[in-house]
Amino acid sequence: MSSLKLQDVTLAYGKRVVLRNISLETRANEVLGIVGPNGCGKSTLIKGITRVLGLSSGCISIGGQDITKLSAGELARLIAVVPQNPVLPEAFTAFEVVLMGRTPHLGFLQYEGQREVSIAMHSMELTQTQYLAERRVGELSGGEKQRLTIARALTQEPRIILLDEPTAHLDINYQIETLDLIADLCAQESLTALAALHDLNLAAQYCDRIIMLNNGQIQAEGSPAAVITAQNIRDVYGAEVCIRPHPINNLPTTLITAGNGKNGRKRW
Amino acid sequence: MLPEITKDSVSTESAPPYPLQWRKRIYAMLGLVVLLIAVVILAISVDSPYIPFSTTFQVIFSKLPFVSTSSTWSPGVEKVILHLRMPRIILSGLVGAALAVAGATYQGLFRNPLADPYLIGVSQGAALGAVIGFMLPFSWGMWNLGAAPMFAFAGGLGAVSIVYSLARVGKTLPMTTLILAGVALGAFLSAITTFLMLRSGDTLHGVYSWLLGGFSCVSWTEVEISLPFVVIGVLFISLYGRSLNVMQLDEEQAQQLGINVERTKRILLLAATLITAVAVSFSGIIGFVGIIIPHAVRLIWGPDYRFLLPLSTLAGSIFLILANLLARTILTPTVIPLGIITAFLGAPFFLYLLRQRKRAIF
Amino acid sequence: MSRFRKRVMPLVSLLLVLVMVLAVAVGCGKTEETPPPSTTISVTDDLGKTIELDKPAEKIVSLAPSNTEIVFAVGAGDKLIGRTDYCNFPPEASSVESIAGYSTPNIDAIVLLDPDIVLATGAHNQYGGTADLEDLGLTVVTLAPESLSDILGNITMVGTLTGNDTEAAQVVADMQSRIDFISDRTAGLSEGQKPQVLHVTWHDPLWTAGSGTFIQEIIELAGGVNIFDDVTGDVQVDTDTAVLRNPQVITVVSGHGSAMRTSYDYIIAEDSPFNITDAYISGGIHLINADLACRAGPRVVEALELFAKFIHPETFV
Repeated sequence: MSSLKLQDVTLAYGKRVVLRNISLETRANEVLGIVGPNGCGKSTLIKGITRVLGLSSGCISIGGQDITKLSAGELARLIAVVPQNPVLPEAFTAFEVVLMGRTPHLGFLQYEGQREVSIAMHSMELTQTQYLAERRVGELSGGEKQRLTIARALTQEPRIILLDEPTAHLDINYQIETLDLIADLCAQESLTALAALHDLNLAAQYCDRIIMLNNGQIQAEGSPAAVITAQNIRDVYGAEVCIRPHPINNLPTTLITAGNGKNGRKRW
Repeated sequence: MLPEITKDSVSTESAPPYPLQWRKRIYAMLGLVVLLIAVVILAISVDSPYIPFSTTFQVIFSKLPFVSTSSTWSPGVEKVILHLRMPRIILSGLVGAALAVAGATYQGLFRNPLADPYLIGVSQGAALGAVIGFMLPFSWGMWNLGAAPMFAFAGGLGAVSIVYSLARVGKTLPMTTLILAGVALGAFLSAITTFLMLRSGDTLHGVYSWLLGGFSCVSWTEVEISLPFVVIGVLFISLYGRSLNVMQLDEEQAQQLGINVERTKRILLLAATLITAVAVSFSGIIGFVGIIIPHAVRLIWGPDYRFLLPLSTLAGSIFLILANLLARTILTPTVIPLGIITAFLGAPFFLYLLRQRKRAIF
Repeated sequence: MSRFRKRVMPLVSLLLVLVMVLAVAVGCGKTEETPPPSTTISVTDDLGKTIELDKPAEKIVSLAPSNTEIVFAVGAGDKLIGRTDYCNFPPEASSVESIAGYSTPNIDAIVLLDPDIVLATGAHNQYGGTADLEDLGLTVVTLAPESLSDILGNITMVGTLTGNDTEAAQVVADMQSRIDFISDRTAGLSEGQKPQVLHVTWHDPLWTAGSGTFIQEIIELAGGVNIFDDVTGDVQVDTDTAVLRNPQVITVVSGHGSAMRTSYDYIIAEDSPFNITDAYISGGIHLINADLACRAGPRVVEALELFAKFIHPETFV
């Protein structure tokens, strides 16, 4: 199994260090959630893993292989990314964009064949985007584009999928559909997901493990119950919340109370 | 509720949408090849002065291998067809192809629909380089045409790097800054070129008419020199069609899809600038071909670079051969500069593109 | 589908390459060479190039109005098959096919006419046009006269090339006698008897002819002094300087090839900057047809006679 392993990774934009000495390792078939406040380095972590941003120090490996030794194509066959606000070429059809996911699997001059087409169609079915196939990307809504990029990432047939706020633009039904799909794929096929998530409740419901980042360092790591605690949220976000077990599956559920903010006025 | 109905209307069993476009685009390519041949024959005949089609066919067939016919035409006709019009038409086709493909490539690389060798200053940089090359007293090896093409390449490359670094805002290359930087640098470089020409006096009389763009007197030597560069350059860029497609996502996504973005960018920039420089050193500054052709192709056949590039090659050749024919016949027998024709046709199209942002064609 | 694609794509590119190769192959086809014929006519043109013809030229293309006039003057007008848009003299010239402008000749048209000789000028050589025509196997004769005697020499040369030596000799003799008639009467003039002459080819900005031009020679032959003999060639000069040099005679060229008189109108106007010059005050401002004053052809002697009348009206009536 190819697991993603970070050892003492430091990432910086110029002199501004965003992540300092991060170490983590994914386990097979798990959904690993990354949570933390805005600017804590969730997106930067994804850039580091995909080599868009060079490492300042440390080492990232997949299945024991140092990623800096892999070609861009080799890396893209192992890792797929679902970016937060992807720029998509407006004139291309949705299907063409999904089919671009096959790029790392094709030779330089090789054209997509029937196999590539059916993989892409399958991904579109999984993400319920097949009805968009012939539409131009410029006509799609933010949520449709987000599901399209998930379809593209699945078309890549990666071992590891990195999701940067995959549900940010989605309605609640698609949030559930999308994360259900990711969780199912991880459980059934040899896929591991690393998802940067904003919503603590979604993270608690879908992630096998959660890493909570704070100021470029890992604040807490472990099962949802161990990480999503009132104390951690107070320390990291500076917010007062109420954590209760979910009435059906007992997973920690974050409840907010109006007027509980720093400058809030008690309403209850 | 999920839109369940659509699941039946598009399924994997029914013909997938993508490959259908393949067939359409390949037919388009074959159609354009036929059109190109027809346009070449048209341009040989209908140029000023007119040579009847029958004579044109007879002269061409008599020169094909394994065909022997008795000549019933005057030696002047044969000379005009074989030594004036054919090289002129082939060179204008090559230049049209080079400019169209270079335009498409710059547009793809900069993810900017208004990039064009002329509008971003590459043509003017190449022209300045070529003028400096013309002024130098020595010739370069077997090229009796001197150092112009080499200097044009250097000039074009210099211009594109300056414009790129000037226009860049953070990691993006906004449309407005790119065009502003390109037009400003182009004007500046043109000013230097004009100054050099004024300073040099008599030696560059020919350069001025060259600079206005055109193919007034072209021999096979020019074709022999430019043909390999343009053919290899265009084929080479066409190989990168899929990479250019993926690069229409942002550079970060392209990298994550396995494209070596930096290397691809460098290679394509060099190749596009090389063919632009070759075009400029043999035909002067011809604007707007690089913008009209790729966009027209996009409008008709879609944005896929694997087809956009070969289709632009063919359409660019056809367009410039016809534009050159127009330049030579519209005020017959006087020849007007080709740059005027392409600007006359291209500038309105450019303004139309600038206005029309509703329908995505890019 | 995939097979179809993989097969057709290389086919398309192959077809393209084939078309290009074929095109080059057709163009590079060798033309058979004929053995050099024995020469009967041999002349040296103004570029020092030797032109050899085995028989008098039967088909002539002229690239300048002056050359056209020479061809007609030596009686070879019927052999002229191509001329420029500006060739308006003699009137018969207009019935000959045009090959476009003087500075922008249509090379296709010239080659199609398949002439025995092409009569070019120095300007064509400067723009690289003569070399282009020679590359296409045409015989180019360049007429680049720098003096009246050069013009006479050119007329003789065209006579030789067309086999009309006798007619050419007659034309030259006639011209020479008319030149001599004037120079005989102006030769004895002292410097004080020679009026100061300004020749205007355009008024805004002021263009004139300096030393090394026909006009300079014509002014001197006609018994005048060119006020701008200190500059060379056709040049732009300062109007103030021209006024201060106080010309006694001003000759103004009419609009090129048309009946325009704007330069003349400007100079004779009431508010003309020249209204303080002797020429203005004494009525010494004259219009001269550009076709006469600017063409290095047989009618240059008519221009000389006009200048003589303008400069010494008391001698030449």
